[in-house]
Amino acid sequence: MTQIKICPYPGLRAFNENESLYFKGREFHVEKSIELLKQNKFLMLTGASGDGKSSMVFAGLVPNAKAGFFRGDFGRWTIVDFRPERDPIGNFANCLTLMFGIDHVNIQSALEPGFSSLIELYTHSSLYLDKSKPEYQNEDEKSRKKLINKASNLLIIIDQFEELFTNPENFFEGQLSNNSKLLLNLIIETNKIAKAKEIPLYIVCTMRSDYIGNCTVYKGLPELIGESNYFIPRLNRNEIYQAIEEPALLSGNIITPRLVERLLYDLKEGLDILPVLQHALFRIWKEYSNDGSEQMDLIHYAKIGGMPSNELSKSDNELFKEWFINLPDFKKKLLANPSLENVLNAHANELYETAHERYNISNPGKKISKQLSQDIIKSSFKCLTRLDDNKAVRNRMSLPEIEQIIGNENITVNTKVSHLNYPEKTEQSV
Amino acid sequence: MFIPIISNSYCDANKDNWKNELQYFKNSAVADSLGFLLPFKGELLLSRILPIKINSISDAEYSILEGKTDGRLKSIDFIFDAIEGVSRPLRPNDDVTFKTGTLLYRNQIIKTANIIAELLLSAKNKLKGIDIQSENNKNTVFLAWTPNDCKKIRDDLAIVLEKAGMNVVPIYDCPSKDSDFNERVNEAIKKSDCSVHILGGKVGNRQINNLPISLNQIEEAKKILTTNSDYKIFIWNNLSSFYSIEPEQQKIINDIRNNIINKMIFTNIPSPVQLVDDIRTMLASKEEKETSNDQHEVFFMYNFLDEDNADEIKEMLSDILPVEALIVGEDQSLDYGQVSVRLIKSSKLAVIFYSEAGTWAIPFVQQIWKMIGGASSRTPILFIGDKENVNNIGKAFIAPNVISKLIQKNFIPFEIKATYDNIVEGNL
Repeated sequence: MTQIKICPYPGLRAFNENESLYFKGREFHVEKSIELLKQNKFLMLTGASGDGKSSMVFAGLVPNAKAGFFRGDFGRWTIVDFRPERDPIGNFANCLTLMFGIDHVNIQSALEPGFSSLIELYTHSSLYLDKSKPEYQNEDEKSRKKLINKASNLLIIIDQFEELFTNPENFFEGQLSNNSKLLLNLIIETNKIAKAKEIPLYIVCTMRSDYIGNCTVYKGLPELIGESNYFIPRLNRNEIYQAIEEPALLSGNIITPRLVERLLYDLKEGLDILPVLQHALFRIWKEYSNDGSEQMDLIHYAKIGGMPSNELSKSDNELFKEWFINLPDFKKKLLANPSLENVLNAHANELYETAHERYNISNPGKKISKQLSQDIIKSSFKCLTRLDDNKAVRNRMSLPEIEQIIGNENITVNTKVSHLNYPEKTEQSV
Repeated sequence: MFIPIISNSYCDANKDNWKNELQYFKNSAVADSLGFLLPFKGELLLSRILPIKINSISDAEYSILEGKTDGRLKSIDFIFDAIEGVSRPLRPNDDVTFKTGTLLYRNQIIKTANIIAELLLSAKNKLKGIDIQSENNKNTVFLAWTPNDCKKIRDDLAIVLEKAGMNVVPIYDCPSKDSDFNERVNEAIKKSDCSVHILGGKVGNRQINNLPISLNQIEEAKKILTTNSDYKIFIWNNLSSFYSIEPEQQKIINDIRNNIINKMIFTNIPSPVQLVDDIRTMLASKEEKETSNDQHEVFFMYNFLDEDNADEIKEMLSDILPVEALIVGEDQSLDYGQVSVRLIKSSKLAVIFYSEAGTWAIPFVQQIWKMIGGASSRTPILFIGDKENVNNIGKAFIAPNVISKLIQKNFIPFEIKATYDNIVEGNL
């Protein structure tokens, strides 16, 4: 059988639904959160930054539901997912527009009264099947099955729920905006009705745990969270081991036990360890183990700046030296202080150093200097991150807004993040 | 029990305490109803004489002592090594001025008390006719002996392991004779579920079989891995406890790390409590053994929405092949994931069929593929859809060990048979 080489490590971004194949180490937690969701039709998934909340939803919970391991009333699942960003109801309405095929303005005005508005949109749509109606009751068994197959359970995912509190448009001086209040009213009231009338409408939110205190500002929200909150724990050693080793085995690659142990050894306790680890694995797989054709080993880890070469075996150290000597000077400098954290820094610095070269190749008519490219990158990153009460948070901005700040009419900012060479570009705004 | 305090003047067969205490106890213990040796949890047998050494003794003295006690003497040391080669008895006050490389009086007292308690329990059980080995279902940890700089860490770790509900062996201090060392290491490793090795900043002076003692014990434990697939080796490189690492020790550490094999865990976890928690978790998660004796030729899965179509295929197929089938989704209480995985693992070919339930089929095959081990699974999956249903056009799952096809419904049984034949003939 042909072995197809698929990169089983997504790098810095969250696992998406297609990558659920390689999402390992969280099975127990996925199962537990599904139990809560089944029972309460609502789930607040909380955890520290970088602890895999979004991955757990998109690569754990959603594929499990679609595969039939988590069953609603109907044969299909319709998934609506959005982030509050700076316009929670607007973003929600955008997603519903696609789903119900009704235009945005009408959806938004349908949601505005709050309370039962969302339930009514769903139960009056073609997705829903009312089994008490004669249209269903009068059918034979075969036709009923067809109707069930056609109907769809509805799963609404609100990712990065904390954006209701981190963006000043949504939350200012301790007060929620009306737009945010409407979203919260819809969540709470929809859940009440769905439970009471046994309507297969489920809501899942993901939120950084450091914002849980903010939820008290809206009556009913703490109660709802209290009923159905799953706090994602840090992965234990066994689970991290699985997350490193099993994706490689699943995709037909090999990762040596000594590399797995080295990565586990180098993981420092603290925030955001999983993205850093995933990035290192992605780099090893992609850049130096020939898309996983060679077994992933310590020498590859040394080549991406993760460990000092003098800790390799004698023969590997010789091979490393032969490779190292031919590197350009700036790359040699990037490997001067090897560590797991350095892998990401070295890669980012390499991209920063060479961004103008790549830009000039794809835009031969509009060449830019190294200095200008670096100024643009700096400005863009400043636009996209900020501190909120000493916590680093995302700052959502559109491309035209960033271009306006950069203020150079000749420059078009495009999705530079794709230069990290991940198989699919991130869903970030830039 | 008899607890002799062994100084360098004790081992003299002409002395009164030798003749009237040790020799007398030995003779009477051999003859009484308990016997001289008692069964012990992780060890094979334990002597009723527990020597407490307060001075280092020579090999010749050690041999005399051992010769009188059937070679089963294992001691606890209360020795303070002030300067290498010069020693004196350990005192309670030494704990106040503790220096790395010396023993903690408190730990040695705890160790002695534990052995006394175990010996008394063993004696009571023997008199009552209780088999101590069958009573003891705790995990046993072989805690490797260390050079001096890690002795205290080893003692502290032993206490934490015991508190976490595990047996620790060997419970005695490291024997000074090499032959005893080898014998006791091998005996203890064989009785254990895992080994724990502490690597400090120093190699230490002692060598066994031309290897530093730390490395020697790791090599001995590695031998078990070939015969016991559940065995695990934990190597704890707790660097935070050491100011510096000798270059020679650093070289040994690098060698160990470059020769790590499956089931070896090399960790720098900062606290003994966290380490023991990891050990306990990993011992609890023993790999699932495939115990099913049922072997199936073809395992056929489909969604309940496709029951009619699947029944036709199943009927045609069962004329030419034995088929085991599972309808997914009918019974809400059934864990379809687990059931499917169990049956796939005991089948030569797994078939996932879909016609109306195309939106279910892709996520289902993806999750099943992951659960059975993907590329490393022994059972290939034939993911086969009904081409006559236009909604299925373009549906496929491309992955190692998966054959993804869209076929006209009538030909599906033949495709399954052809794929099965290829597997049996070794062409897949």
